[in-house]
Amino acid sequence: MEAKKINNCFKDGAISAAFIGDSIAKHQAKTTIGAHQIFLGQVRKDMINQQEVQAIEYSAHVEMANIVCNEIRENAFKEFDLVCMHIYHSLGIVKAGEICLFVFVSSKHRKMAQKAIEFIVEEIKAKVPVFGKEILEDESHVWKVNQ
Amino acid sequence: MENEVEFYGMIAEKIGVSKASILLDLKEEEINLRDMIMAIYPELTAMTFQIAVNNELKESISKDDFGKTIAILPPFAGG
Repeated sequence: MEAKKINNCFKDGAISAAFIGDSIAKHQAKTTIGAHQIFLGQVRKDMINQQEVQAIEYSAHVEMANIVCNEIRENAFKEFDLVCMHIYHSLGIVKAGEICLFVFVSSKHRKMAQKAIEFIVEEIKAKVPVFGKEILEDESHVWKVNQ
Repeated sequence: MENEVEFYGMIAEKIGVSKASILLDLKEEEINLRDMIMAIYPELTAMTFQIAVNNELKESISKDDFGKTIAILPPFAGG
């Protein structure tokens, strides 16, 4: 039996606006799509211990994270009538203001894409083993935990 | 048989290592992983973590799992 292909959802560093723009452009060839939903996670300059967060350094259990992302993807396709979907998450340093998560869902009609993106983002936050070290002004750090 | 254990994020930082090998007691039918890890690393007692065995979340390990990789995962922070 052929092994199931597991997509790599990780990108080194921040996800650039150019990459997001290119992804949108590529979907112009897929003319059954009538609606896209995009979620962008951005690193916040929170105040922690009277210091601003400068960046988050992301690490992950990469193998497990990719398996979980693929399960989320399969479940989303079962649950919602989607044409395609993509998940990209950063690894390594992402500065405050930069993008660390890009989820792109496409369907024939808007409601499916709207429902799907909420499901996918919540699943990613709850189930994908990604860890984030918030780096402060004096280069000390605090580990981020999803709410 | 030995199992590889991988530690991630704040857990690795807390104990100062990211990988270790542990010898599992073959006499037991099923071993509670959380109890075992906390016995070896008592500094993790107050910490929140999940355990994965070959990429699947699990709390215990049986003879079938010997040789598989155990991962100790702190709270997730993706996105």
